[in-house]
This record gives sequence, C-alpha cells and structure tokens, in this order.
Amino acid sequence: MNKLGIGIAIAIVIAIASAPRMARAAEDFNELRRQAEAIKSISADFTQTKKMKLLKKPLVSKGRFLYQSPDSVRWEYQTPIRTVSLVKGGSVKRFNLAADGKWRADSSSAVEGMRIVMEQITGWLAGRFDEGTLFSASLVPGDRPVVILSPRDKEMARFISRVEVRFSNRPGVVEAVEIFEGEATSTLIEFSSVKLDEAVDSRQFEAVE
Amino acid sequence: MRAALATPGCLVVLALACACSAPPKITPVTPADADPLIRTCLAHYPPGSFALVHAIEATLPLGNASSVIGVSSWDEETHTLSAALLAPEGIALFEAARLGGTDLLVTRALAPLDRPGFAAGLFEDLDFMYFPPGQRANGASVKGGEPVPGRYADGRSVCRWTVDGRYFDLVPAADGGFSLSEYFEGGEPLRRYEAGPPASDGFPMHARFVRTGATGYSMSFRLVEQ
Repeated sequence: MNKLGIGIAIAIVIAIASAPRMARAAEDFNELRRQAEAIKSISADFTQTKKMKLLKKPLVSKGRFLYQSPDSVRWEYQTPIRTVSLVKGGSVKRFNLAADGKWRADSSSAVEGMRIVMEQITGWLAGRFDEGTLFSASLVPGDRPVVILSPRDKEMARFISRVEVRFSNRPGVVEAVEIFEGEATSTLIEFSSVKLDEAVDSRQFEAVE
Repeated sequence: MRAALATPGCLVVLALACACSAPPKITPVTPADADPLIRTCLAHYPPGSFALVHAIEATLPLGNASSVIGVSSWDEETHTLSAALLAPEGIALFEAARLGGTDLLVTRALAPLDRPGFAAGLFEDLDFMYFPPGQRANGASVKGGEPVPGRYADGRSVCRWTVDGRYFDLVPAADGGFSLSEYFEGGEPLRRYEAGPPASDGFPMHARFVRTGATGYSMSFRLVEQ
C-alpha cells in the first residue's frame, strides 16, 4: 500500500535471511556482511498477530516466505487475504487473489513503494544492517540475540517506533519479528518450519502460480 | 437547429438527460404492506454496537487495484464510529474515529491515504453502509428520516429516504441480502451498496460498494471477523 509498509515487510524477510550470519557473529555487523554470501536460500512458514485497540481480539494472518540469494524474495499471505509479493533482480510485483478466484496485479502505490525500498533491501541482503538509510541497527547480544531497527527518518518514526528481530537459541534461526507502531499497536511475526539452503524453484519468484 | 438536434450525438445527450432526470419511480404499497416492508428494510441495519473485520479488494480510479484489511467499529454508548485500514503485512495505514457524528480524529494516515478528503469520504461511506439515511451517527433524526415504502415498476419492493436533496433506495433481496442506492436530486447515481445474505450474526458475508463518477471506486468486502 505504501513504501513504509512494504519496507517493513521486506525488512522482516531480510532479517530472516540474515539469521545464520547473526548466530555466528552476534556481536559484529561486519562479520554479518562477510558471511552474507554463505546463505543460498531460506523457506519458512509464519504466523502474524496484529494487536491494536480497535480490534476486539488479535488479528491472525498466516503465510509463507522464500528467499534465494542474492535478491529473490517471495512473501505470501494465505489468510485472511491472499497476496503474493515477488522481488527479483530489482523487479517488484505484487498480486492479490480477487473474489473471482483470479490473481490480479496490485497496481496501487505499494508497488512503486517497493521499488523505492529496493535500495534498502539490497543493502540488507548483503548483510549491511548498520548501513541502511531508513533504519539504524543495534545489537543486543546473548543466547537469544536481538537486532533492534530504529527509523532514522522522523516522519517514519511517527508511525514505526522500532522493529525487533529476535533470534532463537537454536543457532541461526530467527524466532520472531515484532514491529511496534505505537503504545498499543504492534505486529508480531513468528516463524516456523525454517529450512536453509534447500533447492528452490526460481520460478516461484517470477509468477504467482 | 432542427438538423443539429437530429444528430446522433445530440440524441444520446438528450436520452441521457432524460434518463437522469429523476431517480426510479416508485408507487405506493397498500397500508397493510407498508409497515412490514419498512421493518424489513430497517432490519438490514445493525441494531447496536458492532466491530467488524473485512478483507477488502479495492478498485481505485484509473484502474488501480489493491487489497487491504478493514476494521470498523461502532460504539452505541459513546456514539463513536472508528475505522482502520491495514496492509496485509499488518501495518496500520489509516486509523481514525468520529465521536458524536461530527468530530473526526485521524490518528494515522500514511500516504496516499493522508490526502485531503479521504478520511471524511471514508466515514461518509461507512455512514452509508451502516446507518439508515435519515439517522445521524449521533442518534438524532433528520428531515426525511422516515422511509417511504413502495414498489418499482418491475414489482420489487423498495424503501426510499429523501434526505438533503438526495434519494436513498433500499431494496430487500429474496436471499436475505439487500441493495442500497443513493441518487442525486437529478437522478444521477452516486453510491451503491450490494449486501449478500447475512451470516449467523446478521452481517453479510460478502458485499460490494461502488461510488460512481470520475473519481469513483469500488470495494468488495469479505467478512473475516465480527
């Protein structure tokens, strides 16, 4: 819908893509960059829980994502809305499943926004957490390290206070990402069935089906 | 002059002008049918507080399309109507509330939803879909607040409100759904809401909204939670 929303979504994907690097060098962003090329692919399921005052109960969405080095991402929601975002080589497409059962390209400003944040994405893909122009990164080391992304831009900070990328105690695996939008509004994305470096059909980054 | 009027273009213009000179004609129903029809029409509006989550497929001007999650809530006690639009990724794109039918407070509006008139237009659309035309959101009635029961020429039952120079026609459907059309005084259509059969708790599982005109748009709704 907008570059901010898409940017956050992609940030989540990239954070997951950086997980193996983080586990081995949780206190060194430079090491992250050096190890960036080691990861060839990632696949995972996710459950997204949205909390805000207006919702009587948290809104739960489910989906799946795929990443293939160096710059291919498939970010797919299966419920309650079916959407697929495809990123490959600087090209960004988004599709929505219409009521008639057909996939339609999202032609709103969201797609243009995604192109704008591709510059950020490329940096994150290369492990450059600490060089992003939209977010500054800090690292909380430990058995379960956390990367905290804070918006650099004041306008963005009005809407996103911070993003936390939480790693599990299993080396190299992200447990959850939480986006804080204000006092009572947050989006928690929890990952499961994470698989690394398995063969991925590249066509999944080019077409919805 | 006669030659000019006879050109096909002028005939089309005249035909359109005639077609839009007034909303569809209705004829009165018998007194015995009137009250039940009015009750049927009013039964399509929420009786009190509600909170809904919809998957929305929007078609915007110039053919652009997008999907969002819509949250709408009405608190009968405080007369507060609230609305939010969320990206599928969970980010709140827009959030606002209107207290007492007048004071609209926008707490979040990311571009392009921060453009002038968007918030007011969204709440107008919510009013259209969820509140009887003659009833303000603060509970007060306005002139024209009483629906007039009738029938179209094709026999369909209709309740018509006439408020502030506009006509609102609610037509119950045989499947339990209904349609609501808003016309300008001259008969040009402005908005239309088509609601399918209600779910167990009374709200339609599927609905479609269309706003006509150069900046028109349409939205398909699928009820996710209530």
